[in-house]
Amino acid sequence: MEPLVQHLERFSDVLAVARGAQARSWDAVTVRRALQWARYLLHVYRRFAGRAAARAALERRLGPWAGPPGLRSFAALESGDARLALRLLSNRALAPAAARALPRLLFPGPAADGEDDAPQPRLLLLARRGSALRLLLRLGGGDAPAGALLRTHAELLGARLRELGGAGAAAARGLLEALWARGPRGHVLGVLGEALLLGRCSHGGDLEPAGAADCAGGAEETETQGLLLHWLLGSPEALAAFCRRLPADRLASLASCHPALSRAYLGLLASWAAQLRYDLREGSWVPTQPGDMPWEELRLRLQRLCQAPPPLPEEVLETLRGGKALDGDFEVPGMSVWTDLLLALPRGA
Amino acid sequence: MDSSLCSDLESSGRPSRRDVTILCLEMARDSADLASDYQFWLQKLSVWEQSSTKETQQDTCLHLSRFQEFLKQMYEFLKEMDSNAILERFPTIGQLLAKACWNPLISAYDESQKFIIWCLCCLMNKEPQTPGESQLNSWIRSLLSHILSTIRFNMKEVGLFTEILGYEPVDYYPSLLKNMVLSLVSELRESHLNGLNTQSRMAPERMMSLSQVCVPLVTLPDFEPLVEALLTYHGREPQEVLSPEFFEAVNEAVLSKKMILPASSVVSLWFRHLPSLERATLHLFEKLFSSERHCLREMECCIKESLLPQAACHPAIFRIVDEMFRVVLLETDGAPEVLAALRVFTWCLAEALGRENKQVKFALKTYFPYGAPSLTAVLSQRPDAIPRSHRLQPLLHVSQLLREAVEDHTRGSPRDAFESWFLFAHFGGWVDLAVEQLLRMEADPPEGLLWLLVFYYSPQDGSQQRAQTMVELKALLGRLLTLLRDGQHRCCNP
Repeated sequence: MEPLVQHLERFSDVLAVARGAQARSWDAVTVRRALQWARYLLHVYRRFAGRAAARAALERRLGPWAGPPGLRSFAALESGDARLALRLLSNRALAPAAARALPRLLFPGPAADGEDDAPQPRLLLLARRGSALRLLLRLGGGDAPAGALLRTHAELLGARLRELGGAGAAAARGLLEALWARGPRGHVLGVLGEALLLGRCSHGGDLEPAGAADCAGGAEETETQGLLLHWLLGSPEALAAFCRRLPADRLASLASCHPALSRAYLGLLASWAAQLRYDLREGSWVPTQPGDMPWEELRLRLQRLCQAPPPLPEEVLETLRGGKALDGDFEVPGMSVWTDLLLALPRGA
Repeated sequence: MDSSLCSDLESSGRPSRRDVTILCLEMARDSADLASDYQFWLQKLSVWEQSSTKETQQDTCLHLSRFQEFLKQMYEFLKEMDSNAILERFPTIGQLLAKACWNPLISAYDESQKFIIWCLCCLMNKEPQTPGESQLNSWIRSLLSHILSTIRFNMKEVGLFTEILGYEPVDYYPSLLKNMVLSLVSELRESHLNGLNTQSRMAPERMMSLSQVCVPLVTLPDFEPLVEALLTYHGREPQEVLSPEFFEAVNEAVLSKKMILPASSVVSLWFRHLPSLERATLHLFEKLFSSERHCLREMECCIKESLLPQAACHPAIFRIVDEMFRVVLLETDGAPEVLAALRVFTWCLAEALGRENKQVKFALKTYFPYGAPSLTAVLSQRPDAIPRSHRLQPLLHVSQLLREAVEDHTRGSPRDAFESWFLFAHFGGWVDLAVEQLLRMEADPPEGLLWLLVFYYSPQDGSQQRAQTMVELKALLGRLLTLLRDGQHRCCNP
């Protein structure tokens, strides 16, 4: 295990150099050696690909290592040559001799067609996939469909968190903080929502559930989702924005899969409801501040929650009834927001 | 250049003059062909990069495999030359390769990106003397870099994820591609289910574009779910919304085994695109009737593998395949391997029909409209299902029905006799049975059996000729049986 980890660490140094100004000192021999290194790691990957215990051990051992993202997982062993190739091809500082030798080393020609551990076949597959993406993007008018992009980002975020999870929850939190700080926030929230639903049922949206049909989710997903929830529930600003900006349907699905989230969500909805006041002239409940959630949206969100599987509807009704009781148990509309909400909800649950 | 080269080699005494001359001529001819092709393709590429309308896309799709062939030839030609020689010969080659790279339909197709990259590598100057040559090298590297990491996203969300999370194309592409394909498949399924709701239905233009985009990509495994979804999507429009190039591309990929699809998707493909069905049948015929002889078992394997028997459970498909068999039989004058193939095919079809447990079973008449119903019904019974001792009667019955069908049409055309014979040829198992019975007979062979055999092997004989042949056959049988008996006798009484 130790030598392997050291190799990985050394290789990530190589990758860092390949991208930077120090590549000036490389020659053809250096490039060839670097590629051979990548090939070695690929062999290791293939040898252990089917052995879950060995993989888990490696990833645990890699945990404390503060290496760059993307190289700290078992899966990273497979694509070392592609990463190296891309860095070297686009590095203007690469020494001319090395730069001249590079294309032939990457693409030796028909001789390498049959060798599946050479970079050639995998780089060609990358090229082909890139063209496929360009074509599909063109079909959609230049942008990826929102659902697909969110799903991809959610999967990649999950992979990152799993890598960092070995180093302790602090690293995972740090990553999420960085994402939240740099934004764009709307997108980050969308990705979080998608990530919390990966592998779970009652998915909604334009993609069918990718994972198991049961509500439990895989073990890996549960772990990362745990990390996400922990951060979300501990960041009031993010949580409020999350519950405000995500669509009602999506939040209802999320609430039915994660009890902790459903409690927080219901709490927020209650606090937003409490901020409404009754306008006698208009005959409806209106927000006191311009940024508050309007009546109709509140009603819609509560309705969606009531349409979710039990025990959610019961919890909603309990909250509303509790509020109504505190207010004096009025039956007449206009006196208590809780009464009116209860009246506005269809009695199905 | 060519003639001086030839004379040099000749004087050195090694390769024969004739060999070298042939080589020089070939090189000259090849490079002349290549030069004119080069101009053609350069022009085509320029036209294609101007616009990406449906027509341009269609034109590109039609030329994809030929352009790849050209790229392959170019590579073979360029690989022996150095950079300066290449530029002298093809000064605009950089332009051609760049245009090919930038055209996603081309770079997505099969192995085209491989040949483009190999040509670019040939173009790299190994020892650049001038700044211009170094410039070229650096340009080639940036083009290679572009080919490998080609997407530019419009949205800054993607930039965020690349920076903070440190993701690269090699991480990104497989996942994004998979999700985009899933998204499209979902869109198709929903569109299918909400047939009457026009708003959620995928517009025909979009489906056409989608099918065109798939043409270069049918052999990429990531695209298989989308190809399947497109093949099994049935819209409400009366005419076909998918591009014919799509069907052709899928068909070719399936026939050359570059892609494996479930049988139901393949059948769907053939239903929607007749030329693909014909191509698949021809492909099977090429395999069956090639120069090497195949035994029946091998034929059965080939035929089953082709999925045509399964598809032929649908009478419409069967009729087309049957028609092609008919044509081949006529053209080859009833060649024995074709007869054998027809027989095996019908047998495989019967087996496939037996396996299907659909509610609606088509009447035999739908498959064989050209035969008399009584005849069809009798012939389609399984001969080996009849116990050995009871086989004579049904055989004679078959013989009688056939004879009536053939000989009563004296007022009809010879074509009717052919139809009956063609029908009979499907069920050649009966002939085997007839031979078996004849070889077991102690007494005189029945007329009916003799007639059956003679009719099968010489359907076009007139009744006089046929009678004569029957007499000869009877005599031959007699001799054969005598020999067999004597031999047996000698074995038993040494």
